[in-house]
Amino acid sequence: MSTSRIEQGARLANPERRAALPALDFHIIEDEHEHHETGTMLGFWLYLMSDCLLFGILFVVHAVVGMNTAGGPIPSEIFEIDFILLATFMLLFSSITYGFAVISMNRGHLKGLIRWLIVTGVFGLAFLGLELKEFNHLIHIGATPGESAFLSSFWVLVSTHGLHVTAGTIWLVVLIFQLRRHGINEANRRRVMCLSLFWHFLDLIWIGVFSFVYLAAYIL
Amino acid sequence: MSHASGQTGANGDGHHAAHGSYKSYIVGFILSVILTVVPFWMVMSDIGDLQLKLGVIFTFGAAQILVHIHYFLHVDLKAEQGWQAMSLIFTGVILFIVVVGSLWVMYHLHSNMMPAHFGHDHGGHSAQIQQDSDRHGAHDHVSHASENHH
Repeated sequence: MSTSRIEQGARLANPERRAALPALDFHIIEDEHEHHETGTMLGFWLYLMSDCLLFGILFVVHAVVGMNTAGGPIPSEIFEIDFILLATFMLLFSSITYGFAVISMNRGHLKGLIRWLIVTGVFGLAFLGLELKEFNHLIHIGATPGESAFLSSFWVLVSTHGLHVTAGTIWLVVLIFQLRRHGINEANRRRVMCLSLFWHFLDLIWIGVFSFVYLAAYIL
Repeated sequence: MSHASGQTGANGDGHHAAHGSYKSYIVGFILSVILTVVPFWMVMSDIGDLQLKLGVIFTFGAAQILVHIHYFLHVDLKAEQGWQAMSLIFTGVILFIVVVGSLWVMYHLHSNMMPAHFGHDHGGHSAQIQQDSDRHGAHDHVSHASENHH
């Protein structure tokens, strides 16, 4: 090992021999998706995973105390399932329209991108409107967070999701203005992709909410 | 991965195929609609018994989460040198430990605590046991206590 290294050193030191060496070419092997900017996207992904743990813990709390209604309202009395189905579809539509926005961006269509983002935002707002209407209804019939352990954990879980959607909608509006001003550049491309992950992730969490918090509790 | 590259040719947009094509989004959307509507429909029109409904709700929910991860989030094993899939699996393991561990512990805690503290009948019973044991001695108390436990 050491002798070969010394030999090499001697060869490199000797200009006549150096010429005899095969030319050394260095290649940086590019990732398949070189526009992907691994740092930010991976970091944002890790944030989503930590958010996933947050929601996981809220789901567990609800699983543990969700049956403790303390003589107060029970799920089948207060949930309107057809209403929840409507809200679910708002979120599902917004997921696919965001997908179309990303496709428009990848094809370089700024107008299509902004148009799809606006449609996504409208569906997001519709979801939030339905959720606020439901909260209003629950407060009206006295199903407030202080009534029972079931309602406390229900309100914390569902409104945490709602706050995430609100944050995502604000981000969406800011992003539309940035796209209007700067067009599709590297930074905006990265932002659109991060929000894409965030938005689809919120739809994924909602699957857990409607399956577990609404449907399963409704029939138990 | 092979799935994504399969769509590459059809789309003529190979470079961005990993982020999905119209086709992959629409396939994901249709699957999601089916997996959403069936459990809602079963609950709203009260089809099947409780076990079946719960089974469908949780199976279809889990399936839809996988559909979202594949068609919308585009997680694949090679993205970010595998760190994306690795962190997803790690999160899944942590969640599994937290969820199963909590339910396991809390279920046992619950079933051990319930009779003594909450149930009115059982509360009365244990008061009865206390009186009995005063009269008949410790042996009687033990046998009543085991009855109470079951």
